[in-house]
Amino acid sequence: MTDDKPPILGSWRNLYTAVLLALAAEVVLFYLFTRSFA
Amino acid sequence: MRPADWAVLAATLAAIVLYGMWKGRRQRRLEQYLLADRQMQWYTVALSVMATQASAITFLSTPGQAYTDGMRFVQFYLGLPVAMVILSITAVPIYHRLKVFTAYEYLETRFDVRVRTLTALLFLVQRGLGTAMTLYAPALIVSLVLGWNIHLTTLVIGALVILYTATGGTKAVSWTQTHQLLISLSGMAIAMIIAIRSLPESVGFVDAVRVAGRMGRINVIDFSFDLSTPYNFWSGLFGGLMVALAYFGTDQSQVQRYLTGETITQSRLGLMFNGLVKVPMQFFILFVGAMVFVFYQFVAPPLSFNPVQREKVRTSQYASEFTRLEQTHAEIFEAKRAAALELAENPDSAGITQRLQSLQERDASNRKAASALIRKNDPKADAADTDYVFLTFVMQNLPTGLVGLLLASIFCAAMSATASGLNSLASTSVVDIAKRLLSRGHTDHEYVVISKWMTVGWGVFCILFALYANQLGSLIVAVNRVGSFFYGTMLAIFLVAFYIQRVHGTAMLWGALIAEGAVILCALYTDMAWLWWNVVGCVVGVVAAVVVQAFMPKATPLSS
Repeated sequence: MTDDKPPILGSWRNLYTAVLLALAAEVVLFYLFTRSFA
Repeated sequence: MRPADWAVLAATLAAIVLYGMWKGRRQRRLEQYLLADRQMQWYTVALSVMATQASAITFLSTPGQAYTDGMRFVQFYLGLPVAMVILSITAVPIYHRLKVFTAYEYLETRFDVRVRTLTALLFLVQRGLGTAMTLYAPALIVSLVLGWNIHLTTLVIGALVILYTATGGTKAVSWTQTHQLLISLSGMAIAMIIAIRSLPESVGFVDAVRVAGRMGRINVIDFSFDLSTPYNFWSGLFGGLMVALAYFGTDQSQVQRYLTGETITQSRLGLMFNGLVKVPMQFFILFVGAMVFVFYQFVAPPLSFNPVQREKVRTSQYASEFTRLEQTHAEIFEAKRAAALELAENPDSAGITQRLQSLQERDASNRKAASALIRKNDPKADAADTDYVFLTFVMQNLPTGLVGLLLASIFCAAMSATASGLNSLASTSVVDIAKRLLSRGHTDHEYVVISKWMTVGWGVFCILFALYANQLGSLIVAVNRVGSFFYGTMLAIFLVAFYIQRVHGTAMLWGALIAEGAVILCALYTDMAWLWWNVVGCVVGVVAAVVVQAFMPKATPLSS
């Protein structure tokens, strides 16, 4: 049972940041989507 | 249903059950039976975690929610990716390092056996009722729309799940879930394609989205802060974060999924994948509902999607009143249809949009009047027809064969969520109660046998509860929200366990009891939306435990 580096992005910190950035991007996109069609 | 649909449905379910039994054969050790020998790769962990959360209600009710209320429900999931990151940093390494079988086992290491037992019992109550509901709710909807016998439907789904879950344990559950989730999502994709392809030729995809948007169905993000609104950005981010932390960090039905990871890395990757994919997946399911809504702007929908209540009121003393409402409904539909077609041709016309919105308001108030009439006719009736929208669309508009596939996808979702529930209930009953408190000293293989019988026992409980659930009336609403009664408290216990080392077992017990009291007060005496109960339970639990600890005599330090 080892805690290796993740297979992508080099470190867990980077991977966590990527997941949170993806969430932020989704919120922005959803907001734009709402604004565009509502 | 036609023979081809029956064939597709039966073949899919039989294949899943046989596959599960084959995958889970020869389970002799408890770690093998309850944790699949901790050999799972990240993609199995990820899909299993996602399939556990996505019950049949996700696939049946969520599109209906978009139909009636728009897509704002997606905000409920905004806290989930944050929770995945927090749990990857905190819970996953601790659970892996201690090699625990259940999340509650850790609590004895950190506090004492009383806190472990209390939390395990809270879990057994809420998950036992929750699993029964995952069986009951889809059986009710499917049996009403298709005219099937609800008892037989419940018995068949329940028996199939028990069969492969009891024989194959966690390995069978995790492997079948990966296929079940893919089948369910494929079904949704097919439904969406058919909804869009069935629109009039002059209405393209962008026009369809525009119609949905102008009629209030593309309300994905709402930044306004309002405690009484169930779904906005803030309640989703904070309330949703609490729910997700509690659900994924303290609910054994989820913890057990990522405990099967071969390494910390595999478990973490599984959670990260869930954090990346869950929000878009929910968006997709709600978008299917929005497209079904647009479809019903061009094909006349029934006034109420609940077929049983519709027929009941049609043959009651309120029949003429209902017929009048149906006539108004038909008139509004024709006017809406014309306006929606005009909007497709003149997308920038404010006048058409206004007309469409005013017609939609009239339609909503007409549907409300129909619901009131249904309730007047049968006070016990579930007048909300949200849950029946998607299945009605499937049954009336999908071609032969695909109806069977869609039903299979709904049953797959019901089975996967129920299987995880039974699997975790058996694990907690055996590891935290039976093995810890009642009957020590059995061999590993004997505990496997006990676990199998526990799975059967919990399965029978869920089936019996589901069979009698429709006699519980309004209690069912409470059962549906039972998770939010306990999740805040459970999360408080785990947060204190992870982060506030100076709090000991007795203070934590008091903190948990005070938190439960606070949640019950909120539920009974305020109009606070239920999502916030989780926040209240968690905050009160943590604060109360810290305050009580401050008044406790200092414990004698243990010898190093």
